[in-house]
Amino acid sequence: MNTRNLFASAAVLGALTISMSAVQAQQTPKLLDPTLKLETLVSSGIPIATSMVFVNSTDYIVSMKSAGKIRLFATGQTPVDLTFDIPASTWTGVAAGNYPNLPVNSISERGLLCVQLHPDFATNKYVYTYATESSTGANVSQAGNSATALELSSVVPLGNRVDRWIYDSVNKKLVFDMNIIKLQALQPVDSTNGNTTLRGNHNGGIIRFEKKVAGQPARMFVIIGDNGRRGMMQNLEFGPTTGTTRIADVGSFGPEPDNRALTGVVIRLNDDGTIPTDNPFYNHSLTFSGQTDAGLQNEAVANLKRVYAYGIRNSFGMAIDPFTGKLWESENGDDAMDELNVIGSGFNGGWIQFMGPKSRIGQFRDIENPTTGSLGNQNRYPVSSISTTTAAGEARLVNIPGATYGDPVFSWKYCTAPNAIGFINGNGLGAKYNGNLIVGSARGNSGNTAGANAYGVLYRFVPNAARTGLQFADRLLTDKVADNTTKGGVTEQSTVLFGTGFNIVTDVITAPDGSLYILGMTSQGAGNIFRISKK
Amino acid sequence: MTQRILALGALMAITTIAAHAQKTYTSASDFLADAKLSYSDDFTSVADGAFAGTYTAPGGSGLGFGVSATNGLWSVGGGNISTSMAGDSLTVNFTGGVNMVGGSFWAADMDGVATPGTVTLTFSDGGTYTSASSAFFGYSNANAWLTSMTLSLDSEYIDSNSFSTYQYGSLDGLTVGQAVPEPGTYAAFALLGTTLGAAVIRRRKLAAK
Repeated sequence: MNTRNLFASAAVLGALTISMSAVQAQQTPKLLDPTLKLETLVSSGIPIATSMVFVNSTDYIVSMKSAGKIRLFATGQTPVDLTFDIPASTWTGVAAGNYPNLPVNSISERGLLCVQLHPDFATNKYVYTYATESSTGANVSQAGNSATALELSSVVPLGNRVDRWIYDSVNKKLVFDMNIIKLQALQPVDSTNGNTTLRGNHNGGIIRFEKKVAGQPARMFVIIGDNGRRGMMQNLEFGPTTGTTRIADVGSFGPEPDNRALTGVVIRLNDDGTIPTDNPFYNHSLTFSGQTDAGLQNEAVANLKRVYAYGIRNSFGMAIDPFTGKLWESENGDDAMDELNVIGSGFNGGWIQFMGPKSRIGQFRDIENPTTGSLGNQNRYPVSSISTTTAAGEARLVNIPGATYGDPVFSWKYCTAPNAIGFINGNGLGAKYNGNLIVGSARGNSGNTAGANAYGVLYRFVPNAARTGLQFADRLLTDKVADNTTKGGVTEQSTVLFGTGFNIVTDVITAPDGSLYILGMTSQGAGNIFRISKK
Repeated sequence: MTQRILALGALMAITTIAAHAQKTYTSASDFLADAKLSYSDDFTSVADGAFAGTYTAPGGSGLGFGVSATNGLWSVGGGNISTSMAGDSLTVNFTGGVNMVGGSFWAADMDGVATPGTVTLTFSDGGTYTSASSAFFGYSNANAWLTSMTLSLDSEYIDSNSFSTYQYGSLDGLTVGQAVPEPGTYAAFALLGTTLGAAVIRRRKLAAK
């Protein structure tokens, strides 16, 4: 992959629509708290790094988006890429064998997006990946300045797959164990309804395991963005319409959550892919009679049981609060209202009817531009279709029995492109940081273009006493919205700024030694790993 | 002899006043009993939310005050004044001749609920007081006018679980007063004592010659 491709992919992954001039500004990361120490541990060899996780008290693995590789960093050893034992008929176009990478389609926001460990990894050696499966048996990356139709379409339709592997620490390889689920990846053209371009965005791609409950199997959360779909999981009961005449997606799937339309959701699964019986809609009685295809109807009935939350646009960040077990999520708006959410069982995030607090629907609509806006070039349901009042928006929500709409715990009025999030667990950075939420933002602070303060920041948020939301040093934020005036604008954010110059942050984790690891990439896509500790 | 007794008495009185010039109160009624003039503001006229600039009390009995903070004021829950920014100091400037200040002073969380954190009051005469509750506290100085008071605190309270709570300096029921007698009277006493003392010393020196 050449630099230009890395550049493009990195920008898309973290910032969606960040401008070229924005990402070209290379910054030196720095922290605002002088009592903290910032070290650069890795600055090469992991292009477009997307996630990391410790395999023991000192060693960790890192996934790479476009290369489809996972690199092991072990203390005192040269980093090594793990290989993959893939059986026959497991991966499209791939014969049985041992491979240096997973063949991924990494166009736009696709690729090898996450690697995670089972909570009992020490004994069962289970490793989980979220990757977009190439349809060619080889990596498909962007060759030119923009993705071609062939590149965008060289993906398995249900190509966003979660797989379980068994780690062979002796041979430094991952042995395929089972597929957990296959999710929507190919975004078809829907010329009839105004969607004329193939796209590869909004794949989500984060896996997080719940806090383990004794006697129960480990359960995982998997998030996928809306993938350009416009159906029930996007709070459009009848598809991309404000009316009540059902509009199916291309190929007759949707708007019910059949396999191709199960998007914009957090699903909750047992560690073997089976469905936990305490999922919020596990006992639902919906039949989706509007869908006449029995197979698709059955898919939708079954898939709804997998859903933990819906109404989610797209996310690059999920984290489990280590003190409460609650799931937190960052969510990207188009132009308006990026969000931080606390996602409970049955959470409805409101998308597409709302982005940001429902009381701000007017600002959401205005910023997205009801005259020309298309909500991410998805012309099938343009901005002009968004309700003009909160009450009207509420009336359009799809209220699955057991669901609850929830406002975000924090929003940015104009988008700042939040990406990875993670909690500080312990006093490794000093007592006051224990339990804080660190949020990366690709566009954050770009209102200040002077020197090292520009582009790519870390925010520090302090949860409230009940850890159900946030508290703020600046009481102007008690309305839970940073009322900035431009994309990336800094207004009302000085008290939550933690670090600057981090460009695109893709993972935030507390290491076993109590320090904080930040995984990210430069504006040119070179992956880097930072370690933050107390001086 | 009579003059000597008078002079000694005056000196003793001055010494007593000096020793008890700064006085603290934990009872509002005791505080008011010592005040010749007083004015109190419970801030019920202040709407919840941000308050730009300085809050100037309507005033009464010729007394008044203004409250300010670097990043502005805030009110929450009705009828109190606090800072908009965690850790900011509240500054109160007094007018009209104040030598007594009382009220409730505490560290509040974002919702106005008291935290276990402490606040420190620093008066313009150098007097300080540290409190960890919102119970009434009063302060007076019999020898000096008080021109200002500053309420300061840490921006975050760290609990036993190492969790942070942002905290905001808060005050309510702020009462300013003039003590009986007022500092001008004490000054007169001091002048009288000094004069009498000097006279006694002069007489002693003359008698020794």
